Amino acid sequence: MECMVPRATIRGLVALQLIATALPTNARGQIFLELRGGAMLSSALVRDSIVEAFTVRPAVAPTIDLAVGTVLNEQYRLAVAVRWARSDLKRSTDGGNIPIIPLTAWTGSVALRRRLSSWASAQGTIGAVKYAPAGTGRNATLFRDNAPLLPIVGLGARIEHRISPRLVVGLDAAYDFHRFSTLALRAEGITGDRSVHRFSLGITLGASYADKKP
Amino acid sequence: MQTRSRSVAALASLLLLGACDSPNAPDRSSFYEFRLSPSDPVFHWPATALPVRFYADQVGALPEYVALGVRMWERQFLYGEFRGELVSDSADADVILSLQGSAPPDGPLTDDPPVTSCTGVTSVPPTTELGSGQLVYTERFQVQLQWFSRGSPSDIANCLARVTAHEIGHTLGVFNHSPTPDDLMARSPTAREPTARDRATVQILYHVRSDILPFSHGLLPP
Ligand SMILES: [Zn+2]
Repeated sequence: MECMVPRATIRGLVALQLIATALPTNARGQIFLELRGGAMLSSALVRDSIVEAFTVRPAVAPTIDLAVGTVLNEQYRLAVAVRWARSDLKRSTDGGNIPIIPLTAWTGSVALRRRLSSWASAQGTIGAVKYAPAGTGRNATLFRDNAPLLPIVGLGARIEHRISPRLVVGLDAAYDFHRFSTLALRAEGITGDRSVHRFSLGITLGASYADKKP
Repeated sequence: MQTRSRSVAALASLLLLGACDSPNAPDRSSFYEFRLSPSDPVFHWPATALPVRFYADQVGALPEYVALGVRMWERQFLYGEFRGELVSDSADADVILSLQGSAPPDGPLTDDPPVTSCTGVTSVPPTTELGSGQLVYTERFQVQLQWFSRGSPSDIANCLARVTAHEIGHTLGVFNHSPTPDDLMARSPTAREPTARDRATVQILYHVRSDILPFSHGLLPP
């Protein structure tokens, strides 16, 4: 029977373990690295009505996050993360969904994490999201004139389990919020920004410091 | 406790920020009938047929005018309803544009006042009914353009670019002419690109159900 774990994933885990082994083990000031895979659900980017009402939103997107951070003290950690999420932007009516264009959402953020217990933490994030439509079809879309960089704020919670002195596996839920508009939408007369809420669930593998319990 | 109160306040303000949602809907009330007669079936390119493939005769700057026209019409949409591309083989095309006679004199496109130094006609193909009752075109769309020796080379170039864009508008499914002379889809267009009325009209067209499928060898009986 063939192994179902992709070779790239195994290589990634081995690399993470090697990096983790090379890291010092006392907590404060240390660096940690995290790789997160998950899925993200976004609320509508646009609501419009032509003949009938419809919404425009990205389909549920697979996500990959890479974060690097430092331990500030026993309770706080600071991390810088980048998230890649890609799915089809689609127009949804009562009659169904019509794909518009493949859309990648790049999110860069800075997160401040607070340890709540030995196995749980919460975080607040600020950052920016950049939508990147793919291919030549963008000329006929709301992204034809620009795909702006949009500030985001977010919250998250995580439970984690240490699987070795240096490796942690975590399950987390995250929420973020940004306002959305483009030049093409404004030119059309859709002049107000729209609030976009994004929720994601993910599994994180972290090459972490050997946490000393208080 | 104080930290917790601050966290709750931050969360509340975040959610309140999210609640302030005030996009204004655009006004698309000014449009014209896109069918020749209100009882005619509607045609627009289905999402599955995109991008629509345009072939232009390699005569003068016709391929450039077609590319300009396709891009112009694409830009009338926000939600990917229409896309087009130029193809180099007419056998692969959904729409074939040809320019009668010799190549026109070479002149740059300018903002000069419009001169009627060309004409164009779009042949909408006949339809047939499939077993299911679905209408389908039996041929590709054909557009024929012609230029006259009237005005400067730039007048002829401007006219050909304008009329090419107008005829491409017909191939999108706007079979009627706008009653407003300022519109690109007016019978004798003077506009260089689609107006707000043209835009509202194609947007509405692409959000109603199309009654006719485009030509496809696979759909028609042998
Ligand atoms: Zn016409």
